[in-house]
Amino acid sequence: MQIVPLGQIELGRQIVDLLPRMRRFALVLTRSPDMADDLVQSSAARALERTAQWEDGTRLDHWLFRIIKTVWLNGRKAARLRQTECLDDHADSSATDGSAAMEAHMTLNEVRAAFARLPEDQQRALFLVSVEGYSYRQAAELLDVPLGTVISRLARGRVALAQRTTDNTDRIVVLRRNRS
Amino acid sequence: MRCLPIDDIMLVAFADGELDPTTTWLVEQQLARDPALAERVALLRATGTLLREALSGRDHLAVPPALASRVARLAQPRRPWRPWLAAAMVGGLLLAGANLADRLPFNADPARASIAHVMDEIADYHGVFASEREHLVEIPAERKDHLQAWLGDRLQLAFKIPDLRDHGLDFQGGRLLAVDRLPVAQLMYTGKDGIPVALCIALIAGDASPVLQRRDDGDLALFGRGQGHHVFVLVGPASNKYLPDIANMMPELLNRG
Repeated sequence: MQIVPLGQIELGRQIVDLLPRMRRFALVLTRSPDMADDLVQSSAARALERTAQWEDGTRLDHWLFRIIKTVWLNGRKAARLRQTECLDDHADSSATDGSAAMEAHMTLNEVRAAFARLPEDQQRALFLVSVEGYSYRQAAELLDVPLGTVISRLARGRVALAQRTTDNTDRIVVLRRNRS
Repeated sequence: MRCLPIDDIMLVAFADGELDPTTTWLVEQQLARDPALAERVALLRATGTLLREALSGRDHLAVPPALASRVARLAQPRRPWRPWLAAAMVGGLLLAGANLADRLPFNADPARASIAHVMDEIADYHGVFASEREHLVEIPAERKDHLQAWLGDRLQLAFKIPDLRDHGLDFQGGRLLAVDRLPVAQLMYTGKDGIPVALCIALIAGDASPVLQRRDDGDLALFGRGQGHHVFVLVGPASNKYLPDIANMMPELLNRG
């Protein structure tokens, strides 16, 4: 049986597939699960209304992240958003056994807490580059800021994270070396 | 050798692999001579790795089912409004005594829920159309080739209408229906007793579970199975002994005709 390309349906399916990453980015922007959900839904709706604007062969995630950021900025202009819940409330529960896992678990929570305390501009730059794996230039495009600004924010954010998690970072590096 | 003025901005860019080859080489030379600098790079690199892990847990990549459902519905393409179809659906729902609240799509498992939803809708359709005798279908079996091409185009799926005479079913023809604004092909057969059996193919927005599902709805038996963006449903009298065998062959039997 041969399934042919589905055009808009396929694009819709790809958007659904990207929902976890879209929502994670929305969480970084809004810091609130409820607002993140609303932002993702609004952004998905906008993307689906404007499928003709997406160029086939380019990165869909990049296009969607731009839309999320635009919708979020528009929302901020329209109304001052209240930030009701911090990212560090979302504790990771994947590490459950063993002292090393427990230690890693604690460290990741501390990293999340340190990340949540960074200035928002630094958070966004760090998220796009360190978590999503975008290049500096792509992150600058997404955030609509000069490349130098992204580099500066990244460096300040990474240094701040390093300072706030130095002890545990050293510990986790040692743990990894021992396991490998 | 040239000595670079190295600051944290350069070290972070180095750790992220964002420096040009020449500068990268120069930094590497200085790192080789300065263990403290090398340690700082390792620390900065580790923060990036840790941050990625910290924000990649289940909680951070989880999508609430309600959000997934809303977006999946948005992702379904809009189709022109067809009053006759709405009337048929409402009639079918009334005939079946449907509980609309239980029939909403996208439950906890969207892949399984989409099949269950399509099966519900097809059961309702079947309740309306199977009672027809003189006008069982609009496009008769004689136009089998046309049906395959036309419905295949609408469903975006190349398939062959199965010959089920070995299973006591004669092909009568087909029609195009819709569920959630997406096309459904209804291939209608009749058994030796004249009771209709429908083999349906539905296009859906998400992915459907390949696990065969069976449900009995009064005198009707329904079988559903997914493959990619398509759901295959067989519906007919529960008393027909051939239905489970035919259902087990879905969707492969649509390859051989």
